[in-house]
Amino acid sequence: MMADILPRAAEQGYAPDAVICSGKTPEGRPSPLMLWETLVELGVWPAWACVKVDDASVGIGEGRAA
Amino acid sequence: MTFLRGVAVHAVETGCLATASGDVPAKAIVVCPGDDLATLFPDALEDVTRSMLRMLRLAAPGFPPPATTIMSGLGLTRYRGYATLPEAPALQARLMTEQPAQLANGVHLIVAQGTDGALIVGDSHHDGKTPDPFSSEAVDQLILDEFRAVFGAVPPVLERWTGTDASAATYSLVTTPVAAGPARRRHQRHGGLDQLRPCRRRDRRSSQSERPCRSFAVEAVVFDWAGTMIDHGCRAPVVALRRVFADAGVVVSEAEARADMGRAKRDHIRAILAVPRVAAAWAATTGGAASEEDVTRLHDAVEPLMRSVARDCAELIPGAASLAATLQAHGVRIGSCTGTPGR
Repeated sequence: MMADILPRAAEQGYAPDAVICSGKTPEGRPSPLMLWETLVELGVWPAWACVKVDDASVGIGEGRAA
Repeated sequence: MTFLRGVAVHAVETGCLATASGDVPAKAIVVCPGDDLATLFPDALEDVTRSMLRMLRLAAPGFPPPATTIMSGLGLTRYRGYATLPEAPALQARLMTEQPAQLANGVHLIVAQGTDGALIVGDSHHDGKTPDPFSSEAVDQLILDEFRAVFGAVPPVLERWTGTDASAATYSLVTTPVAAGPARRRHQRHGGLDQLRPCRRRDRRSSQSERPCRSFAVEAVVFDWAGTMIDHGCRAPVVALRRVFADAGVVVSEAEARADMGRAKRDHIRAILAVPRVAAAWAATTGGAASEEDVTRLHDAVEPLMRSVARDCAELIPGAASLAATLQAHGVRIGSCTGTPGR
């Protein structure tokens, strides 16, 4: 589904450096695995120097867990 | 003003104080930990140590009361206001030969008279993270020797006091790890804490007596997609989920469909089916509890539906693109992750 959304977001000027979708990690939110996978793909660390922005409680839980 | 006495503060986060009796929201937080250097912001305080101080109370019957608080010359090398004067090095060199033991034990003389007439006489300073629990008689004698040198005689000792304080080579220990902006305004209004100021201004002043301010660069910002950057209010998944449940004969409310938003879609469907009201409605319609096959069937139905709805809901939230661009221009990497599947 993100395959449909990404081009539309890019048209509007938003193209993130990494996109991790559900199914790429053994567990989804609120586990931190998708967020860790994102940091690995970006090649950034430490996790405490990164910010997670979300509107849903499991997504905020993911950020705290990471 | 409310004092929470006997309440430990576990943690300070932006806008929130975590205490033993619950969280306290706050726009500005000033941390005054005394000599507890380990609980809050230990990294910011790593150049600070503890200092053990000793003072004595002397009986003073018939002793001529000092007209005012008395300080002897030893204090001139201890207090920065004097110790940075051009004459100080010469005095320091002379005291090193005349009173090396006092200097080695941080002894200087301050004498004040309490309301009961007794003299409070201080003090000595010994730095260390774990102060010695035993009070040394030899150090007390160094203080009393200095007293004798100034007053000529030493009245009997009534009480001995040992305490600890925070100590650092730098003069100002004020640092601003949180909420510098609002904190500054608040303190300017109240006046007493007006030496608090934001880090950047202090860095510009960069005097040697002030500790450098710690800061760290944000390496990356990771945004969620639906509801955060696109699709006001997460309409696409909610619309699709409610439609496939309706097609299966079970009405799911907007709130029920939204409650577990952000989970992987299979987990989300399981969570909706686990809501007691939905489980009951499902049983009433289908005659039994939902199985994994039902989850798969709903999941397979919701996927294509979400794709078609999503194409209509993929409009960026106003400001999202410019925020990401601004961060990227500052060298911050932009990541994203989502409970939505890729394909």
